[in-house]
Amino acid sequence: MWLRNNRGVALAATAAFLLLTGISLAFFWVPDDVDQGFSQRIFYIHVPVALTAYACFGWGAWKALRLLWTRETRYDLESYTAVHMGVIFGILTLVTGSIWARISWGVWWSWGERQLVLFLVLFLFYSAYFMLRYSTEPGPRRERMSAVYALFGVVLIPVSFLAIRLAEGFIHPTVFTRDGPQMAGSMFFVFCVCLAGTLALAGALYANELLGKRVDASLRQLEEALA
Amino acid sequence: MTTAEKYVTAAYLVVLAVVLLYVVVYAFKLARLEREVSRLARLAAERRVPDEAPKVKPAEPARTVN
Repeated sequence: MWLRNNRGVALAATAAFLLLTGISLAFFWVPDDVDQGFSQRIFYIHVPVALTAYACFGWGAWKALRLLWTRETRYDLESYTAVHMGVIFGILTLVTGSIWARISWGVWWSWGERQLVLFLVLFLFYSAYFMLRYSTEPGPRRERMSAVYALFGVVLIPVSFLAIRLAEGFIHPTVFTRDGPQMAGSMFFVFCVCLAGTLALAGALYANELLGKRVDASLRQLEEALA
Repeated sequence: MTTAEKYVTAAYLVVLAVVLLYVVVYAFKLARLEREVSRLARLAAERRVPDEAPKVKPAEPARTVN
């Protein structure tokens, strides 16, 4: 019962524990990568953050589908909040990826890389979601338009994810192949801890943001009733 | 500290900074919500005062006995 009423608190505590453990292990326990040395440690934050961004956009699309299917208004706010979180994690992916590119490739950005460009397209697509949302009046029409847009964007996720595998002559490394993760067991363990931590962080932010938006909406209704 | 160590630390600090920035923005939002709740509570209290005035039971109209 307590857990159900305090989901945000429980997720925040889990995220803090997992992320602190994961980052400590990443800095002081895992061995240096043979090719990249110490700089490979960005992997433990960059990849989980990128996967979390995909998960948030996917969650937003799922809620959008539920809205279109059931016409229940609450899914609109849930989809919007998930996209909001996805954009925050998208910014983090682009920034951490850029820093990693600077160390490994000597450049901040490479337009020749399909993986990077497709992620940027995905990020910009979902950034435009807010412009669409706030350019129309609140109501069922806006809810449906936002839902359809969020649903279209989800198509870009598998394209972005598979781009690296379909591309020829890339410099962006492929760690997860059909043969499993191409890294030592200890590295994969730390990666899993960090991924669980970032997913819990996204869950905590989502729960708190949704709560805030619901309180905001209820206050507006109350204000109208009192006016 | 080597260049690689500086960049790796910067990447982790960026994530921390964004999370902290989010917390600050959220704190402002909570403060705004608190102000709105106070304003609406005051408005509701003001509405209740005039409503409470005619609480005295109005006299029943005299019944006529046929």
